[in-house]
Amino acid sequence: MRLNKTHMPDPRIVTTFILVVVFLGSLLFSDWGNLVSHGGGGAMIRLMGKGLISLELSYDFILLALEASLITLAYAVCAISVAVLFGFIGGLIASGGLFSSIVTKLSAIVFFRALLAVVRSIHELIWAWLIALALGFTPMSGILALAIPYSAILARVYADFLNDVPEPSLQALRTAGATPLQVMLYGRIPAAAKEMVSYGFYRFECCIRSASVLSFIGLQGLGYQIGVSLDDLLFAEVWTLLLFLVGLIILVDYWGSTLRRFL
Amino acid sequence: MNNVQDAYIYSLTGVSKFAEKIPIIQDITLCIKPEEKVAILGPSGVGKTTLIRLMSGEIHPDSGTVKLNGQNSFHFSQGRELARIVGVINQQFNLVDELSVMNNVLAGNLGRWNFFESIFSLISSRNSEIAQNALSMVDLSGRDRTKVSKLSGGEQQRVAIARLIVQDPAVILADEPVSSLDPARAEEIMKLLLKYVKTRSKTLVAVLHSFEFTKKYFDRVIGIREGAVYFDISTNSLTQNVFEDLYI
Repeated sequence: MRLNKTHMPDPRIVTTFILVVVFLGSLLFSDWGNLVSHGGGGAMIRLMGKGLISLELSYDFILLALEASLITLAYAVCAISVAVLFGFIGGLIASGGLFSSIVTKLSAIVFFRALLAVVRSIHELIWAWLIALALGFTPMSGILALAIPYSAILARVYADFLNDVPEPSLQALRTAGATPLQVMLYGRIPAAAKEMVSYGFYRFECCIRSASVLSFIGLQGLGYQIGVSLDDLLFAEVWTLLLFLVGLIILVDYWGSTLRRFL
Repeated sequence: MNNVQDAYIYSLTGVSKFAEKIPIIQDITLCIKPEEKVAILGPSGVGKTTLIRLMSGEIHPDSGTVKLNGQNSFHFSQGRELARIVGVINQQFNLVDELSVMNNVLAGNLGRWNFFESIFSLISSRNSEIAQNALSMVDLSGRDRTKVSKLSGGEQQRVAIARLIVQDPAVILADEPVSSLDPARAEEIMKLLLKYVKTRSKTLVAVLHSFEFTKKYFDRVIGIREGAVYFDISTNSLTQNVFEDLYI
């Protein structure tokens, strides 16, 4: 006796049925009375909304927000400058393009990319805790906490950009007698430069956002001021500060696109 | 026998190359004398580009030997020594689009420069007199600061020739150097290339598809079919029938 294959239920339908039954069953065990722990959420949202239409625009507060923005920008510039430098060097090594021997090239790619994967898999907030514990709650700790994972991210992405340069133009340089280092200098770097600058600026924007949330280890700036205003539920100030943060991101975006036009 | 072979700039003996066990080049034996101008003809996909890559030292044969100036091509393995003997020019020009005309032309000097000279040149366009002369030979004077990506196809091929002039190799391997150009630009580039080859006493090996260019500019013609030499004759013996028979 053989089962007719056409009468067998579709495995996808069976799986979907099982998943739906499990989901509906789980609803019976949920604690429906304790879904939202904060009973005054509606009032808080109204307060936030009210702050948005009555921004704090007094002269003194604008000066404070401007100073905080400059501090955040300064930390972000320090962190991204270190990250671009080490990311660039790391990218050159991790691309494998500096080595002519296939063994050295593969060793560099495997070892260095593994190292970069470990460093960038740890979020900047975790790095901030680790570094703050080692060096203290100082601005330098914040800068290092940003620079270390960002260097690893940039190095990985830069390595990919350098590897993606079309091979024929590189081969033409090799037939002109160029060494791997000269091929890097005359072929890979110029061809990848635009993308590298573009990605560097995108990471700069991320760095500004990250710098503003690292106030807890001693970074002053927008994040710190937002925290102070939030403690007193002064949403008019919070929104003004957030607008300054958005302004910084737009400024960096404009800066990056202007620079890309010259490359 | 060795002495006879040493008189040739190229000496290929029983050369074969496979791609996943499929023969691309099969048992090719040929010799090329210094200053000879050799056209390689044949339908698409018969192994002409592979032959050029074998002769340029970019790849090595699976069997047989490729000798350059009497030395096995394995000896060179794509180094500076090889760049002094062989220069390559391609259908797609293979320039660095993001660099200026001057820097692309100066790249012909990379085989002579150390790393610091290369960096200095990239920044300052050093040694520009040699490059300026090369640019003037290809009628691109005054365009040295232009980005290569802003040039037309014909102009880019002229930059590639100027780079070869700076590199100054004994042999020029040209893989379909005019295939992507319109007839007028193609004629212009062929004239330029041949003028350079003749005045500097270079050897030229060029892959072409044109009966007219072969007859007009070359001494000898090698027909390739199914990875093997189909004919190897003087250009005087090349008739329209022989040419068409190769492409059937």
